[in-house]
Amino acid sequence: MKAHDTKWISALLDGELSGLRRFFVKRHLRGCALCAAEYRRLRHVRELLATAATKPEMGDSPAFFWSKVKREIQAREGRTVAAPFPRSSPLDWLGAHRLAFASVAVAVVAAGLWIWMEQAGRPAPKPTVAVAALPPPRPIVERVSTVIPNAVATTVDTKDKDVTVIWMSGLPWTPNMTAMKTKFAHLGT
Amino acid sequence: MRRFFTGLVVLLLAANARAASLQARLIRASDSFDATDAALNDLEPKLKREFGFNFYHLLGCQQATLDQKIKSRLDLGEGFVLFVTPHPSAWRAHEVELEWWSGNTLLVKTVARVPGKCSVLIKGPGVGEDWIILALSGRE
Repeated sequence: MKAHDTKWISALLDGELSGLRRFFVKRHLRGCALCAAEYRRLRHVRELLATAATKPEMGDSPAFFWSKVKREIQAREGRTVAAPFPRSSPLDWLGAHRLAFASVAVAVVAAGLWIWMEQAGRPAPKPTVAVAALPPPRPIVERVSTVIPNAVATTVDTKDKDVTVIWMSGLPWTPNMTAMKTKFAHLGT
Repeated sequence: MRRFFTGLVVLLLAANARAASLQARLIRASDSFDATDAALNDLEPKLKREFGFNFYHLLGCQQATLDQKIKSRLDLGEGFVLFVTPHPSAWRAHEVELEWWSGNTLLVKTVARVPGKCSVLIKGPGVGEDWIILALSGRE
């Protein structure tokens, strides 16, 4: 309760509040001087009314009064009267069903605790990763040829799947790089 | 809708073509060197398995991008030249026609598909106790 609402103060004095709402209104009265003064004023008025209450005097005799009541009851018999349905807030609902609510809360906590203990006892599941089983790429030599006389170029299978070897045999041998350059420069294929 | 799909196909083809390139390395394999060049660290285990030499020396290195669809000339040094002609179709971006020349001599002509992280090794002429090797590696 945050607003200074005399409606709640009156309800508290009438004993209409219960549960959390009663707690909140009383807590507000303890901290709010304005509402506390209003509470004291209303309580004083009620005390005055209670002490100065006058006993009503009946003009009719009890038998005659009862006969009028019976007649009124018979006259209203058969008529439907729309009785106002009391509106209740979620707090009222919680207050009315606090036992059921507490039972459900305890059950949920117990179930969570049980599941947690079950999970804690087991080894953590290994993450599964979906990997597409694609074949690794391989180099492919579609065709190979050489025009050097007496030389042969062939493709050789290797143990490494990512390597292909083209083996050239029968090439001219030279003793050093200079001789090789000279040799191939004048081979003229 | 037709324009959308046409644009999508063009984008895919462009992306595919832009990604492909080919690296050519001219290598001298020998047992008389002190160590293998650091630039050949990625290939050294494969070279040793296939050719058996202990050390490999990098003579020249060139790279050809395959998105232009034109014939490239790569001068690898020591008189060796490699001509790379990409396949005209973008769907076969890694397929190339290769001509390895030494001076005026065509050593070998081949059509190969070299996807990324794959290599084609060509054992070339012998020089003294050593071999000349051409390593072609695909690049994404």
